[in-house]
Amino acid sequence: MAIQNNDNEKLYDLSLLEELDDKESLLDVISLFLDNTPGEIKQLLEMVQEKNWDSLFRLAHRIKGAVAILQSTVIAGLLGSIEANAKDAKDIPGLEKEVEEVDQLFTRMELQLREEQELIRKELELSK
Amino acid sequence: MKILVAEDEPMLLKTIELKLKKEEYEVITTADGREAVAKIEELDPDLVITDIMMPYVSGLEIVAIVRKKTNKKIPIIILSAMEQEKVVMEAFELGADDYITKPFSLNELVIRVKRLMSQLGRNNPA
Repeated sequence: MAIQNNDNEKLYDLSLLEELDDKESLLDVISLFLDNTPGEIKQLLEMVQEKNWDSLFRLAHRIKGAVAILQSTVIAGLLGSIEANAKDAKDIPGLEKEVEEVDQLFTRMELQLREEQELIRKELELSK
Repeated sequence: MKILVAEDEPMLLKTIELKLKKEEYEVITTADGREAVAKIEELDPDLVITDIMMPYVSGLEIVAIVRKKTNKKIPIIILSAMEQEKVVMEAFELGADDYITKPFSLNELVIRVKRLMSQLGRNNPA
């Protein structure tokens, strides 16, 4: 999958999570995502190195669910492709490239989300 | 009203839990299919929401076990990914009541929960 988006483009959309209807809950779930998922993305890279396709399939599927509710369609699409290829251990060179692309895009999204997390924290502090 | 939510992705699990608690449901959570089955037997929830791909025991197996082991009609909502349509059909054949595809609207999930509860004459969360 060819990735085309500029560096400033926001890689997520919080509108589904905003249905939680309060900023504290939103902050809780974003924080949980930022605590867990960066480590899991690194695990994807390790699983490719180890050619552990079954674990890669399962972990890509799980991360995809979280990324999808953040409406990060590009990363979710890549994870879906990784999941499908890892399930059948096919197109290994393409799979390796996609995991690297996920890692790069996720790093950008993580930075954007950490900024958003800080803004929400400040908003909450001001409202107290 | 007690709802058991089985989902192995921590953020999704927490998100669903927070939303349902706001609607004043009692929420039991688990990230493990085997634990989900044990908690259903032990805690007798009024409704179950389960992901399909779960560790140890899948969402489909959870549906089959619940339908085989309990006489009480517990509504079950399946959380599925886009490419799992065939599995959703299988879930319906096993006795699932509804499904919702990820990513989903939390408000829509609540509507589906309320609809299933009302079909069983259970309208109030508390």
